[in-house]
Amino acid sequence: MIMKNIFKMRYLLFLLILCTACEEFVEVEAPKNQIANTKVFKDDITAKAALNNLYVSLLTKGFLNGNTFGNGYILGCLTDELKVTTNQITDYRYFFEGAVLSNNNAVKTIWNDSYHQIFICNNIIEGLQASTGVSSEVKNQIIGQCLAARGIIHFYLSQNYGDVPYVTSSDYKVNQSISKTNSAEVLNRAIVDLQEAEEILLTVPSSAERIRINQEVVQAFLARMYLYTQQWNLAKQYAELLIDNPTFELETIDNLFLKTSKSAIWQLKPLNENGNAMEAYSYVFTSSPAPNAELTQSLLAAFETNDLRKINWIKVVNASTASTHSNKYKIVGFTTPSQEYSIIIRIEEMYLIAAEAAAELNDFNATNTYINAIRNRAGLQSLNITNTNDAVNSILKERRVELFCEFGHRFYDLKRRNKLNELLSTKPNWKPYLQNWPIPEVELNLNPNLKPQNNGY
Amino acid sequence: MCVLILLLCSVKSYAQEKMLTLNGVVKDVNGPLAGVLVWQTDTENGTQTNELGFYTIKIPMNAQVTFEQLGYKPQTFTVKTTTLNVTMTADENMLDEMVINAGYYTVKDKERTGSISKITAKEIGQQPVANPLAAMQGRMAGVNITQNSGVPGGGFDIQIRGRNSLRTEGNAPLYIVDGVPYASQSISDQSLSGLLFSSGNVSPLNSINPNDIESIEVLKDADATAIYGSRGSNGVVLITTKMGKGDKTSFSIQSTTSVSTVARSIDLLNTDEYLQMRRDAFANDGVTQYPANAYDVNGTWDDNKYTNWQKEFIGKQAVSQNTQFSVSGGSGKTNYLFSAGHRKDETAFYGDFGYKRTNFLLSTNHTSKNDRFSWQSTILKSSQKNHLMATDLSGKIYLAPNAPALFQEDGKLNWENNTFDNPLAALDSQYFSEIENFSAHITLAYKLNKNLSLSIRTGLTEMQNEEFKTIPNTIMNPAYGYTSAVSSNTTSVFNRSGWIAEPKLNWNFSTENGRWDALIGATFEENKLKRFALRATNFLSNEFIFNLANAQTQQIITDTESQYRYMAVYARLNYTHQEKYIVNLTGRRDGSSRFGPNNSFANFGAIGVAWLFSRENIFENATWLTFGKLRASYGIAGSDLIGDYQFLNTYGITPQKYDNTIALYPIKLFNPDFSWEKTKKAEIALELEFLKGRIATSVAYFHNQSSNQLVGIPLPGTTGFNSVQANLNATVENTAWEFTLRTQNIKKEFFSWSTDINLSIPRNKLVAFQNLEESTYANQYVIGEPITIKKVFNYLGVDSETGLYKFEDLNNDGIINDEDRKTVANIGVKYFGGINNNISYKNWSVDFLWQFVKQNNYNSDYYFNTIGDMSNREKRALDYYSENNKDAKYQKPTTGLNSEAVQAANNFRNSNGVISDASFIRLKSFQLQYMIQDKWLKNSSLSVFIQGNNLITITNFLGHDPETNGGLLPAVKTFAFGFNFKF
Repeated sequence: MIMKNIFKMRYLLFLLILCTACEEFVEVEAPKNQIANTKVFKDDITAKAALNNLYVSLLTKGFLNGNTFGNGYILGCLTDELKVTTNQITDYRYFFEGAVLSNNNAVKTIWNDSYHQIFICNNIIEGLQASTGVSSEVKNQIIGQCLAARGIIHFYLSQNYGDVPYVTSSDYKVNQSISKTNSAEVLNRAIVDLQEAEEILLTVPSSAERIRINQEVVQAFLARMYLYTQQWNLAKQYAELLIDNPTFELETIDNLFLKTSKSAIWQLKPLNENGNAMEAYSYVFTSSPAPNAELTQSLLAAFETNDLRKINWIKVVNASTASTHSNKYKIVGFTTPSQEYSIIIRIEEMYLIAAEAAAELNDFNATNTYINAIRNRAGLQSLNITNTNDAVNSILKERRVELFCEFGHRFYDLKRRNKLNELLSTKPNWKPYLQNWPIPEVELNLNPNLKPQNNGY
Repeated sequence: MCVLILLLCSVKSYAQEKMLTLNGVVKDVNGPLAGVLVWQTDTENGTQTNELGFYTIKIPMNAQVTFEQLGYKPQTFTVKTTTLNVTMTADENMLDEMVINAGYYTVKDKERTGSISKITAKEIGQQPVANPLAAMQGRMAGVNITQNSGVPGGGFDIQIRGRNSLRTEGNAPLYIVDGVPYASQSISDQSLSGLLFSSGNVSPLNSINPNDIESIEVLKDADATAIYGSRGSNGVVLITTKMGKGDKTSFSIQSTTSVSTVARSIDLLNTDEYLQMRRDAFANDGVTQYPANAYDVNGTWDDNKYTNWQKEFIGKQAVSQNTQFSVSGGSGKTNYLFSAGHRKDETAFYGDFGYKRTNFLLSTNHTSKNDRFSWQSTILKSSQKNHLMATDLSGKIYLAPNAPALFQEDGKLNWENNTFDNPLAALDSQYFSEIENFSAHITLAYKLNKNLSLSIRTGLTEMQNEEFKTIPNTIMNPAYGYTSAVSSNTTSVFNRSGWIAEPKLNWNFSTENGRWDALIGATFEENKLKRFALRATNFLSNEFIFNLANAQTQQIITDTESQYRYMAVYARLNYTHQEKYIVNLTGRRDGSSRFGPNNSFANFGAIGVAWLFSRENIFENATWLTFGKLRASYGIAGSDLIGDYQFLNTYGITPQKYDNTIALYPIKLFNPDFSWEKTKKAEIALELEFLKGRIATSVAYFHNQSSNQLVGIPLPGTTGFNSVQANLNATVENTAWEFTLRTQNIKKEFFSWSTDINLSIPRNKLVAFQNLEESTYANQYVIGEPITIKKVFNYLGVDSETGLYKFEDLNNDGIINDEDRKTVANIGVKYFGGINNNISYKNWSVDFLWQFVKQNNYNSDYYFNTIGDMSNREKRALDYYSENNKDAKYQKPTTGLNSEAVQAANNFRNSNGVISDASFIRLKSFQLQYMIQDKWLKNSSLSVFIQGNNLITITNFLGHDPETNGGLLPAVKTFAFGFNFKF
């Protein structure tokens, strides 16, 4: 027994030595590709790098990318811009056929990616507000861009999904059970975010590339949101702010989508060095039948004869089958240097917003001025509009041929004008409930506060 | 049992001192015995019997010769003749000596208090498989192994005693190879191999040659696993490689050639049936003018053409060649074994792809003259090369049967004027992987005195996987007009290296009535994982696609390094009283870098007891009962399988830059407050042997509870992420009955037959979950049900009015939506096991193992969209709804234009209509062997064998294969023949 006790004591001693000497052994250094959250917001450079991630994300995911799985392509298929030719099962084909289900992958991915982008914004805003290391000038510019992006993404979310949560914090404990906000209220809150951003953001120096959100970008989106919320005075006022801004001009039709475009208010710069806008990959094809989708006959028919936009922006691949694609962006692949950047918002839309708002305010002189500016530079004759109804119809038609295949304008225009059901004439499968996408099925499962599901799904 | 001495030759006398060459054959009742030590008594002159039981030894006349083998009674004879054939008798007492490796210590099988299963080289060698886990399938109670994919180099899922963790990846056991932990996490970049292997899972165990394995032990209960503390909760798999033994230098050559084909093919529609289904679909949708892109029905493709795409894409006979060479020997107290192996596998896919592996093993051991110092070392080196197309073609077999030819007459890929997305275009996208593995371990031991010994085990491992995947523009339809500017090549290098050092002190002490065994030791371990991935795009020409320097654009996608450090102290105290009562205490204190500074340490421990009641006096005269033991254990083990650095709140560097400046992204939602997951394990078991061991059986019942579950709690997308790492206040319970039975049915001199049966009946249950209804798991789990359940719609059949699938409207609101998706369907194993038979007659022996699994799973309907779209279906789909067939199994076809039908089809996939019996009985392994025993072979032996794997599958499963499903290449059946020559 004594012997046993001696051994026991030795063991204990051994154990004790090991434990105390080696607690530090299990402390490891942070991995080399990671940086502590607090350090990110300690200086200007890393804070700007965190913001860069927002742009990287916008280019590759969510509403504003030019991929075939992006919102623009999908809404083109859902409405009457694109006719799907592939017989493979793809998300956009489901949209084209009007068979949108709540477990549709695009419905889920765009939702998740958008809220992830909103998280990026909120996390940066919170990090900077708590930070003391970043200069106040840089701080304001970054916060301004994040606020604006947050507003813009929520705006798109409510346009696609109807009532959606408005997320303003990065706290998952709050956001995991958040409820929906009425879609009109979402727009109002987006406007508040943009107004705040407008105050703190600077204007863009005219020489710089237009690849970040600045005061003008915010004003342009505000003009669009005021139009959507039928605040005609504000819409006209903001659109005119940009029309009168000498930085922007109506670019010639054939140069409009180049990176040097004077029309561009905001462009996203391709991620790859010497790369070009993703849109060309999505829309361009060289022989028929088209591998993914081609432009619809109804879109082609909407153009007036001799419209320069039809000549320049539409490529006929096979005349006998009338197989055509959008040729706004032409370069598939690389050039040295890059030539085409993806335009998110541009001055022509401001003219059309101003024209529409003016028509609602019965200022038909202004309407005619703005719409004819757009028409004349496309080689079309001037219109003389004298009543609101004609104005709205002409402007919708003009928007259709001007903004086709650019992030879903056609869908949003028909939706805000309650004309979506007119799609029935060319799309027999159209159903009124498609005006709102379903809330993703998994989302409803994980957060019952998002119930009920949108009508029809 | 009596001792039989067979003296087959006449007896002659010679002068006493004269040396002679003695030879003969040693057998037991089952036939020749290999590895029996034959030595001149009290000298160092000795040898071993070969595979055929044959030995030869130079020995003086009238000297004493002893025959010894573990588990048999030693026999000594006086040499009188030149030939001495001996029959060894099993020693019932000596059988106690069957020793089980429990990791840090070994224990006699009969005296173990824990639950440990074992297979040996004999069983492993019977199967022509590449991965050691494949050799374990069906052979162990409580161990459920499923193969992910039939592609060589793919992974396996292993569950030891059920699912403890809600996280799939949290259920992996700890693998230890020769004492060195072997990280089992996949060593592949999922973005490169994800289309080939399930979740891109490439098992590191592929680098171990099954032929080099001496034994695999699986530790299951608390008593056996608690000494592995935080890493033991999912069980421990101990792999021991072969060692050299005996003095005689012997060589062995083995070669096996095998042919594999997909184990089970499915019956697909022929062209007429398919086109009829398509035309019905258009008719149902009210489409009379077939659209331009309906190439299969609108006349673009030939209506009369038929191709069996299944045969075309995955119907190839894959030939494998496996060659093995080894040499072993030694002198006195030093032994060595060197083995080399090479394996080459083709795939069942179209095209010239394959897998190669080369293995080396060098094992040496030495004991000093005074027996106080000893060392043992093993070096394992392997390299694997895998060259595959980057996409598994199994999903392509559903191509329309009248789709055009794959190639044009000029040999070029046929795109049929852009109307045909040729699946073989995918072959241009290739996947290469080169895995280099090196591991070495050395154990040094020194006996301080009679009772005390000190040892240290150290090991090094290094594994590197260099993968690349090419995506040339030619995989895309030429209509895109892409050039090699869009071609890309992604290269990824995975490097995992680690070391371990484990000092240990052993002490044993015997008293009059009992025996004490104790050990105390420590572990220091470090693992580093480096990953580097580069994507190159914009090639001048696809000719240069393998050379990254030729790309105009290169992008570093990943450049990371992670570190894992682990330390522990562990101890064991074992007391055996009167060889009848045994108490075993084990414990461990663990520290892991995976937990934040406040939670780095935790304690684990267990107690095991055993009562060998057959040694009590009352059983002394009970000749029918040879052995009886009751054992029980209780303890706590844990799991730290959560990945590194989860407790840090960090930003990472994105591979992409914006405007040429770097971007930092938030990696995850931050939650620092998580800690160890623990599993409480209790077990009780009864082990019995009757009739001198001719019947041996065991029954075990265990009850494991895992709580404080460490999971990525799923979150709605509104949080910005899919999950957050946290401990969940939930308890998962696993219970099971495990039975084993071994019978010696016939035991004659030339004929014997034995059977091994194992059966496990597991049950899994979620016993507690705080606020389940409010949690994000509300639609996933139900308290009281297994965690493998799915909440689904209750399928009621096809509506005879609408022709669409019908489901139960639980809340009677007239619409079928998520509110009605509440029916619980269990996907999981009800029971499983194996029956192995070994029959030998003279030089012939046959081994065959039937594996059986009773389970429900998704059938192949789960993987399909609507009936009527442009993809082929299985024959049973013909039973679809039409005016003439209102009582159909499937709803009316639609091309996708009928959104109600699409919705119904989607609900069907989320209903219990696609969950069905996936049970199977499978002839898992089969071996017929003949040993050639002939005069001219002398000291050598030659055996030839035929082996088979998955040869017969009996199942009612609707789909390809009940074991591997999900659109990946199903398990293959293999037929092999080969020989083994030893000299």
